[in-house]
Amino acid sequence: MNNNIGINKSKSEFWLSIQRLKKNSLALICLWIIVLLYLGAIFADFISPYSYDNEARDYSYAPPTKIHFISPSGKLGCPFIYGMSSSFDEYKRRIYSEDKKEIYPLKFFVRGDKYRFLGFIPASIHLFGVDSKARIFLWGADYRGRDLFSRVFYGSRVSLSIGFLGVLISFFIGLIVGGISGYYGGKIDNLIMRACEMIMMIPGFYLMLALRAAFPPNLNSLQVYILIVLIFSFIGWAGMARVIRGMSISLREREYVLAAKSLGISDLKIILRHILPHTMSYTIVAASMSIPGFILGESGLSLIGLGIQDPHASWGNLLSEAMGIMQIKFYPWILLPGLFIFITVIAFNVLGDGLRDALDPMLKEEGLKNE
Amino acid sequence: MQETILELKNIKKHYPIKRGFLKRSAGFVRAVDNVDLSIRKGENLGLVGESGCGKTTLARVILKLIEADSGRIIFRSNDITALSNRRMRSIRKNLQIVFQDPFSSLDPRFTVRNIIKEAFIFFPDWDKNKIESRIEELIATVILPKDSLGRYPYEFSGGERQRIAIARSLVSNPELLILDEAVSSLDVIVQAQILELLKDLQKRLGLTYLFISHNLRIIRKICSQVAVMYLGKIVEKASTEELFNNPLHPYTDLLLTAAIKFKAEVKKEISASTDSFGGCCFYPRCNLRQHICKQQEPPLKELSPGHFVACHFPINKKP
Repeated sequence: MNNNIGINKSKSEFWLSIQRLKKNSLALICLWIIVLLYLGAIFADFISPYSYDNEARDYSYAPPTKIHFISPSGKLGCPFIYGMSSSFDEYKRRIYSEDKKEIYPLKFFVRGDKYRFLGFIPASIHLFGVDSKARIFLWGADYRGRDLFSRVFYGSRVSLSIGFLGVLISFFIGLIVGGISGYYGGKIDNLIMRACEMIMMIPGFYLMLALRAAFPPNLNSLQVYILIVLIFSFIGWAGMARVIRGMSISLREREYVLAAKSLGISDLKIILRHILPHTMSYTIVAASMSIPGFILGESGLSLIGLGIQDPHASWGNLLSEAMGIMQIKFYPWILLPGLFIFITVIAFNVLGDGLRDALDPMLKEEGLKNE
Repeated sequence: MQETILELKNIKKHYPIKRGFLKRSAGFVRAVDNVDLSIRKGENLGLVGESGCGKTTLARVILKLIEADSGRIIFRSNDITALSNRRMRSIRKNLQIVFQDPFSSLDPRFTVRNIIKEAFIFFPDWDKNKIESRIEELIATVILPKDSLGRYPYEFSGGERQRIAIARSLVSNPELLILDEAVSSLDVIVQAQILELLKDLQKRLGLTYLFISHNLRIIRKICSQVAVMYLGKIVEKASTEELFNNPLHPYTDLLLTAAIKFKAEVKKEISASTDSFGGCCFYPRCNLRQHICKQQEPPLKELSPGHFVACHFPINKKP
């Protein structure tokens, strides 16, 4: 028996939970989708053939480019695209057609728009592209002739990171404040909780609008980005703090907390070592469940023009072009960012659900799970 | 006579009962009421009483995990009642506790090594090797294999966990160790093992125990002095032999009979002394009560040398 234990390394509960998560294939698929989306965001400038602001007005609302494998002579070969020519219909809308005379082979690892790889290495290699004069629009173009494929990936940088940063900051504040509030109780608790309720009583989206409106509208995109993260954190910490406070009230009565107290360990250390780690199983689930809220919030702000400004892309402001029924009818591809929002939100929620199941025994042991 | 390590003077801890919308106090739960106790070096004191009589509250008051409402705690002739948390640290080094429930007193996220390591807060200037060798020494002291250090509490049985808790409390070589129902949740055989271990440790390390329990059999095994607590008050105090042979308070008698006969004639159950009627706290359940018991609270008197009792009509079983 003892030998056996000597061989098998002791497993922490968290490790066991990860093993349980591995058995949940749906949650795993969602985890991979999320990982792919984030990889796409990190390597956006390499994957996309054009920069987010590279525009070609002649290609306004160009449809997705067809990639051909069979040459006009009927031979199977390398992928290529035809050049595009346009004419106007009776409503002065551009009608695009393939020009079968011009053939542009699809090239991989081509030089194109300059960018900084991972933010600091200057580079100009793109995953794929075609020779200039022709343009490749995998998922069509917007009204200024910018490649939607590229802009979706650039936009995911904003949309995905805002959710992540927002959750990070708001949960950090929520954990510390909630932990302190529950641990000390009494007057401090009363004060902090009333403050939380002040924030929570205003509907989130309207509070967000009000806060955004309180700042000048002519900020640049980076400033707006930071502003949105701060606004989200300001709104988001209150709910978290309330739940964590409830947990820490029950956790502070545990004998291991008393044991730590009787060793004379300082209050802050007890909160950080013995109280907050025990809320972690809840926090992880809550985080993956609330990232979609932040993503939707950013999309909402950008959609009505209070968020990230053109030419910078975010899924929200890409969608703002799809606000008219005519655009959706004639250029349905501009709804694609919406599909990405949808997939991301679903993936985070399913993953959160899977995490909850995987962490279930931990939640139960902490007595934090309400059936 | 040995020197006194711990002295409690008139310790009181009352919890207000709040009622209604405005949370007005509607009385008090007298968890600990005017307790005087003293523990001398090497003389283990047993504190007996039924559940809810304030034993645990008293233990926590001594450790200043709960502030006492009034009274003074004197530890090795230092008044520690009003000490700040920081100043308390040097006192805590000599005053440690083992809790009742070994399943809750060890943080499940920590390995045994880290659980014990936490107690090295008393020795901030120790280096890693010194701490590690001391941890190994301690784990051997409580008779656990060395490889348990890397394991998590859930991998241990109740008895083993309690040993870990004891090891943690021994890190600083305390003079007084409070054992708050430390063996109550364990089965009889493990209880016996832990008691043996405690006796052995006392011999080797010169500890003194404040042993809190509702189990008289265990108290008799390990303690030389016994105090009986009822609803926050000490009702009888004597040396173990004297108390077991010659109980003077009707409540002590009840406890002893209940332990032997498995059945006790109890008048009525009362949860806690929420209402004060000025009389003896045991009045509602007492078989020997008389009119005066309802009106006057009996003081703790020394009836024979070293034998204190708080009763108007103490039993005298001696022929």
